[in-house]
Amino acid sequence: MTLVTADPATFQGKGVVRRLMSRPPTAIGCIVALTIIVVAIAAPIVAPYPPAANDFDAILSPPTFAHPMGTDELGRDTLSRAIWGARASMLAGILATLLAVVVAVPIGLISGFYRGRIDGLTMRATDAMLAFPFLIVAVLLTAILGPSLQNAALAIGLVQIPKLIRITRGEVLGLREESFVQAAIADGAPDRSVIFRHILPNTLNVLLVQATVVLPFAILAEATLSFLGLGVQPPTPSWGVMLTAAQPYLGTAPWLAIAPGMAILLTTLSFNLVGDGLRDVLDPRLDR
Amino acid sequence: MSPVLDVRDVSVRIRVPSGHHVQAVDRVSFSVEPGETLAIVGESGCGKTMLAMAVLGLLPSGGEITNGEVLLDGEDLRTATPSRLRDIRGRTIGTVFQEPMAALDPVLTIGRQIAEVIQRHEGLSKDAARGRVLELMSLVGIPDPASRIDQYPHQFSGGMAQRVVIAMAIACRPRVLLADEPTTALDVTIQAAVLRVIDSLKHQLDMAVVLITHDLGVVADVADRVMVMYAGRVVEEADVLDTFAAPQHQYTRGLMGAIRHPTRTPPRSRLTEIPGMVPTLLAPAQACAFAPRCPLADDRCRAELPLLGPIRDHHAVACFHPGVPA
Repeated sequence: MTLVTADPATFQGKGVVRRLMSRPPTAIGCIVALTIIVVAIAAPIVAPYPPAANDFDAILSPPTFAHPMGTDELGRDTLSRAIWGARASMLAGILATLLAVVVAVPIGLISGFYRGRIDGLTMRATDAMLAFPFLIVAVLLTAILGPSLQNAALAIGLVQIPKLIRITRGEVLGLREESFVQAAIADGAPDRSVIFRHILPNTLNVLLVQATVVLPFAILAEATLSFLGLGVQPPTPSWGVMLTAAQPYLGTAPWLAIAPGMAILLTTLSFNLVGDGLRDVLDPRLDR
Repeated sequence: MSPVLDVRDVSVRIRVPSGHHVQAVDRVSFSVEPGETLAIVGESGCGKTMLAMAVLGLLPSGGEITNGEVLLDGEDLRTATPSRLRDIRGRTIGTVFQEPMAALDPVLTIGRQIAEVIQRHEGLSKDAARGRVLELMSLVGIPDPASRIDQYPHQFSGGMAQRVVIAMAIACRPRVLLADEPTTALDVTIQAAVLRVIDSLKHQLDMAVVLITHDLGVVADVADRVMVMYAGRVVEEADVLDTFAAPQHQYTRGLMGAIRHPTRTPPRSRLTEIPGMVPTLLAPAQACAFAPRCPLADDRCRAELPLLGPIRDHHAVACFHPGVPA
């Protein structure tokens, strides 16, 4: 163990942004992810055309100056639809991830910390939930609640919960045996403070990385559900809806698939890069 | 002076996963007074750590105190409520663990970790606590506290980290300091320094110190009294000078034989070891647990349990054949 004598200010959390930006892959990831979010929010301003506007002079047109990413079979601008689609996709992804984290993390913390009967119950419940295939849960839910973006996000979030509970619980099981947790208890810390001040912060790096895996998964899952007609309803565009619509024209108009495909790829990649970088930056031990 | 911590006849039983019970501690009594250091000595597995955990009420799951009482200033901790125990831990009893690096939370600055103890037990504001933290850091001999308070544990060396742990343990001026192998994980050169810190704090704060160790060098350095444990029982208890000058139990003598004395041990001579291993006790002992390893053991030792009895003032031994072998 070497004695690091770096600038103390870099350890106080305020330098997080600066340190994120000092790593080229992370910086690129941050910029791309932020751009996607901004573009999604500012879609009405940024998109060259409304998402449902038809240009009947340019049906299935390849990329041109007027339509940089081409048009679909109804003459709608692919770039504009991809930009509008970002709203639905990002919203579904973020909602689903938030739901999964907010529900799963507390359950995992309690289950791993107290073990015993609570833990046994939780684990059997997650086993049961994991036994259901994702699509069945999603179809069931949307059949009951009706197909919509929110319900698709709900279904996607729900299926992520058992996995996240298990990951959190596994981390907690290891951490609660750590000396510093035992030491905190020996110093008179109540359970609440042991769990939230000592255990939770030490699981954050794992959870953060997990969240950056769940988010792209949720975006892809939203595409799947929309493909089955259970998610976003046409004509509202989402990347999944667009990919579905592009299928028949894959040979003749590949640009229809390329735009949403690239959007999904960039989103997934950028969020993974951000997650990786955050994990490194938030862990004080990994600082050079 | 009356003892601040008085442990009477405590037995600890632990249920192991196979369903058996292990008698980790068997009817152990000891007491410490303010300003006094009691060293509890023994090999790994002799029950010293379980004894400490029993005092704190922090036995691992499956472990329970089956007998005796733990009196802290006359209050029996066995009957104390969980919230009363939490109040005592860290305030009245400070604890120092073996691995300083592992005992500190890697994602919190050391300043916040020390402050946490103070804020919890004394309800101080953040700013007031920070002032106290700086004082504590200089008290335990951390140079330049103002620049180190916002650093993380990994930026500390082992010895400095142990000082941080000690600062946390003494933050609320505890009456008892429980140190479980506080120097075992440290370099030899650092050990003496850390022991000096504990010793000088004992005098400044008038604490009772319970020092759990297997290192007789540590014992000789700082202990006032020594309690030797074997297989969950106390086999000998004496003043530190007596323990080293006239050990009575064959086990204590064996421990002494296993350390090298700089002047008295002839060079290149082989150190004596104690043959055999510490037995695991599945039930309270019916005979002397050390008999299988003892050169003096006879039929009586294998049939009857020797009880701890005084052989002179302040020196007690649990052996039918105390003293030097004939």
